[in-house]
Amino acid sequence: MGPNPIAKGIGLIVSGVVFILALFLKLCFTTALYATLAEIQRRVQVYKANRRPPVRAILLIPVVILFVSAVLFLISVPRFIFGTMNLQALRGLQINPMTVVWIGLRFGFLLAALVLGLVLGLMIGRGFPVLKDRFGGVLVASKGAHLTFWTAAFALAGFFRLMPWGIVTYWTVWLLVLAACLVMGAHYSLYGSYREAYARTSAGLGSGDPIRLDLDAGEAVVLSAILGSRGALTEQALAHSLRAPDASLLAHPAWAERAHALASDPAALGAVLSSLATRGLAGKSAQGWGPAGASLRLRSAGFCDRAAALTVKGPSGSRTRVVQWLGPSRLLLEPGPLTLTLRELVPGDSLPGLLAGE
Amino acid sequence: MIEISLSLAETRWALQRSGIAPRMPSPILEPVEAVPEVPSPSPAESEIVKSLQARGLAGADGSPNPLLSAALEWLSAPDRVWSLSLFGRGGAELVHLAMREDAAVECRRSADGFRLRFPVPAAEADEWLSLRMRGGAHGS
Repeated sequence: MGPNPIAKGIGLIVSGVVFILALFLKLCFTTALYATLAEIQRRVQVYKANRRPPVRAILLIPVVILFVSAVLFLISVPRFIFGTMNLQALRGLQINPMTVVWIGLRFGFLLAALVLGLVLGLMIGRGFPVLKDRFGGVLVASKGAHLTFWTAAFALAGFFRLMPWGIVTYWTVWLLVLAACLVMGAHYSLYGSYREAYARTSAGLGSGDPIRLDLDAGEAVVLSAILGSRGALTEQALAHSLRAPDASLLAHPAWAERAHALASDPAALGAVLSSLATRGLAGKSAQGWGPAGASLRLRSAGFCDRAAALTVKGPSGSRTRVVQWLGPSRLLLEPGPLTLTLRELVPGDSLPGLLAGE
Repeated sequence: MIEISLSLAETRWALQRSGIAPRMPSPILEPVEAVPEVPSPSPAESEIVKSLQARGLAGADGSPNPLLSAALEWLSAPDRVWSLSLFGRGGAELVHLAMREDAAVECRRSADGFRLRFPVPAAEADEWLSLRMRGGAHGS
């Protein structure tokens, strides 16, 4: 007596469900691996720039994983319902001409993956925007890093296709292309087109009393952190941002040590904030600390379009002066190890004279 | 105004042959420190001499052109150095002006060495600065 048709049917359904679940998990795994690698690579770029990624960027991982997995899963369903591919078919795998063709195809996928990786690496690596920098433009990630990452990811995926348990052979490279397109699209939508960013210029300092400031290094780094934030900052948030000083208008590499010292000393930070408040450069509201007076004008400029720094080394020592172009405005800065002098230039000021003058 | 390009190895060789010892650390010639000395005689030296001769920077006897030696001498021990950094969306660019007495040598790094322009009259240094700031790679 043959097996019960009902039990046979249930067994078929259960094995089908298990098989589809396994396929779905495999797809999720591949996609998650790929998207995670992409995100890790992007985060590295972001942290190299000492910036915290925007909250929306965190959505990149689930968006890529869910969307790609869902699309591929839906595409996979008909193949396993109407197709003949199943686990049993792999048991009887024998070497015959078709197997050779099959293996050839798999090697072909590896080569195709390499070529696609190279092409995408070049495409994405060329002027790919990561963040807006202090020049209002973009921090362009290294072409070499993108090329290496995408080529390696595709080569790895192509190598996976050489494995005998390749259920979704034909879709792997396509999956990677789709994932790459999605990642690229997500990046562009998150950070905007780099062409647009390149075309932007600073709004300038606007009208108001000419800026003439003499700050010590502590005041400069704290004011820099305040200017670098969109909203008001609590003391804790200020301390946090001082641990990773950004590249805002007033930043100077020589002051990193001072910034770190203030980040871990709330009393010293409070003293600097009080000093800024007394001078009318910062104010405290219910939300926290924000710019005031001349600082408001500095923040309205947002970023500088370009800058020139001249270091003069002579018998009497060394001195550096910097000119920043902020839209129609110009700022002259003289950063020293302990102080920062800012002066807003007026039309008619001679830049070479001001930069090189004793 | 003369403009010449020199690789790091050529610069190292010319310094050796001219008997110039840069005042180290030199803000301009610092990259040369990392380049090993060119043995003499050696196939490497022959290549360098041939290359310089083809550009008129070395004489038939294989010694550096006096102009080249003078420019390197200038860069090795300047009285004053202006180092101008230009920052913008295209990246950053650094150009030096080594001043001595009444003239100067402009020096900027290239992919594998230096590009030198000289002499820049010291009286025109302000104009040079103005031009570089306006016409740099990141000019508006």
